[in-house]
Amino acid sequence: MADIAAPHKRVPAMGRYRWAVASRALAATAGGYALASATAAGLGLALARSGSHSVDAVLWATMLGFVVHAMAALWAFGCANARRAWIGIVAPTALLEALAYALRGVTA
Amino acid sequence: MNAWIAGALALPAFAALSLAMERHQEQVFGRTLARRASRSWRAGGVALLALSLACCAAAGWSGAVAVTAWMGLLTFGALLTGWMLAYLPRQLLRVAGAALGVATLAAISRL
Amino acid sequence: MRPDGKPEGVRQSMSWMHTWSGLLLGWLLYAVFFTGTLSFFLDEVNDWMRPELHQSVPSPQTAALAVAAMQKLAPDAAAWTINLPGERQTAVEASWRKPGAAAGRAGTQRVHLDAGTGEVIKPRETRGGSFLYRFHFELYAMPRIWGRWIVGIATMFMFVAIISGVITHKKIFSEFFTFRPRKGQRSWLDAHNATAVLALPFHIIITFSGLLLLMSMLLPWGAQAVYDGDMQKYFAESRGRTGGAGAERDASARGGRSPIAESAALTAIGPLMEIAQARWPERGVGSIVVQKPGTPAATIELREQGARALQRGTGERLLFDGITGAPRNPPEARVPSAAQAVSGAMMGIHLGRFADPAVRWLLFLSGVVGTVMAGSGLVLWVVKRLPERRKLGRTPRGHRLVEVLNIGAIAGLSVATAGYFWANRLLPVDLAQRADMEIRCFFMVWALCLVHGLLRPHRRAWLEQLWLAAIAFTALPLLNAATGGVALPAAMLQGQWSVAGFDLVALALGALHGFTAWKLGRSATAAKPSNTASGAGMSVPRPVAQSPEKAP
Repeated sequence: MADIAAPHKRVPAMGRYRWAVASRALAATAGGYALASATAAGLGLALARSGSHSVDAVLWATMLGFVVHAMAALWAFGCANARRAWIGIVAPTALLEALAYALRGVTA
Repeated sequence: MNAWIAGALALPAFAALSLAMERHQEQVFGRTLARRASRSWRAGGVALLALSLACCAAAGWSGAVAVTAWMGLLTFGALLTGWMLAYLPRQLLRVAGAALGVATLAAISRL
Repeated sequence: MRPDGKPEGVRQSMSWMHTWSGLLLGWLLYAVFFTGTLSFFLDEVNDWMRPELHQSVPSPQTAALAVAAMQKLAPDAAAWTINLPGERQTAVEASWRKPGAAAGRAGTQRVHLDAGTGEVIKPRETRGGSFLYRFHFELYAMPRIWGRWIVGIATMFMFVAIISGVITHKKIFSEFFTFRPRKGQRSWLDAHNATAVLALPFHIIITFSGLLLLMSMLLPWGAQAVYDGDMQKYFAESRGRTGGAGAERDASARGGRSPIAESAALTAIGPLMEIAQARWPERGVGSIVVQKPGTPAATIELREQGARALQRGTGERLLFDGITGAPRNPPEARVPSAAQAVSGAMMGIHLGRFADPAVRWLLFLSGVVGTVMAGSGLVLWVVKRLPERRKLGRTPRGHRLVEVLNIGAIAGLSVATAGYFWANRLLPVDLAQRADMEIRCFFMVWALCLVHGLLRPHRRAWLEQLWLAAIAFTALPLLNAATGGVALPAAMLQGQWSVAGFDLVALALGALHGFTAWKLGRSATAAKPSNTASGAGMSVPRPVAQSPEKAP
């Protein structure tokens, strides 16, 4: 397993490795939070506008938001490279934000 | 009382489940068992788990609490089983059997 | 993640994630687990830390004495709340609100009453168990919101660690019962796996519900979107739908008294208590709430000790007319929706809100298992890298950092907690800022342990701190009796289970630390101690016999 606490091992790609870790970490944390927020908002509005009571919609959407954040973090480090990490998180975030934006003006 | 019975059942339940695995059969019996025997042990273990859950329900706990308490009791049955397999495997059947006996007697006394 | 950038399987990447999400905040998470586990017995700790309350022994007259005391203390109050003693507290705790008082804690007056005589008791100033409880989710010495955010983020790391741990543990079923003692790194891994897997439902629920308890701060965007930014409306609606305590409290605070109210004598509480006792034979009455006491509109509500159900507001209640004692129907508890039932159940488990003593003990023990899981994970990180260190001939700085932090965060926290309880008894009662001084002692001891871990050889540091914790905890019951508390045998005889329970758990914790220290000491003599060039290595215990593992 990678041990980045041993810098004496001057592996040539160390710099690239560190950049990749940093990028994925940012995707997992900030990106994941953005996705969670978009999920909470988008799904919450979708449920509320399709008949669920507002409190229920918020609860389901928020609970799912937390799960999505964890999944995003696992995706960020489990997928093949940093670019995939970002795309896999940013794309759904954008979609969900668009959904939330569209539904915000609509009343149930 | 029903809660104690449910807890007492957890040990034999997990002991039985462990005996469905070859590694633990070697520890307890000194040899591995035939497939059919393993399946019987597993079935017995599952049955005892279900019985334990039923006792939790009968203990007056409502739905979610009963399941939660059941999982809590199971945790300790499983830990005890694991501990015995590591340190006292030959005694496992005896102790699990005793727990089962005590649970049965307690249940009968309540009927 | 591999330094050479080659692709790796899911199990490997999840293993990497598990290690880093666990390690980076592992020390904080250990402290959160430790203080959280102790917080299941918050009431008991609060009682133990106020020995002035130990003179209070519950009696059948307690309720009547308490009501009489309230009539003297707070005749004009808008409402009285009287928490009766029980298994979890030994004195009466009463509070009241004057009409027109400020909302929330600021407008509430509190007092402790002797359950045997009805006299007011003034216990020493202390934060008690509430310090540990608040530390659990708010930390200390920082704005509350920061503390909650830090703990919230740590909780998400924990959640990721759990999921990645399950994914990476490919032999999760076949190694379900596997524990191989005296095999060094393998044993540590087995211990970590066993405590993690066998209590996995508990860990998942505790962690996820921890997020839920902070959700209006961590992830408010759902409510913001659906309620168009009106968070107050969201809170009001979610409270209103369960008919929870919040709604009533608001009503009673605003209620006050009409200016032309005549005074009317409250009915005797004795017969009402008997009705309630008959209804709740196992648990008894937990609290008495009197609305508008001394007026013709007074009502008396009795609540069962520790509600059965996980949902708030569906616990057993009995409502009576305050003047005639005639029974009334309490307001219907509304049935919660599925979303509220699920989230409410999980949060209820986390807070132990529904727990009768048996369930509370199970929660506590599960918390101990979780704490061991976190601690064993941190130690495993070090032990796993010992062969690498031996090959290198020295200890990399990162390894040393983890080692030192481990001692401080794990053994040091135990010593500091014991120190907190010792300070509670040794600091003078009339010391200024007493409560803060006790807490300062806690942090000073913790800091000293960290320094100790830095200066001493690694194994010695562990042994010394573990033994110190063992002695400090075991001596607590003696300290208790010697400094004005009720001694353990007397407490057990008199049914003061809050104090007795604390003393017993202190003994158990002392034994646990002593056992751990003893085992650690033995593992050194059995194996050849491996001294790395730095001289600070933790020896890896080897099996005593070289033959394959035999059943005894």
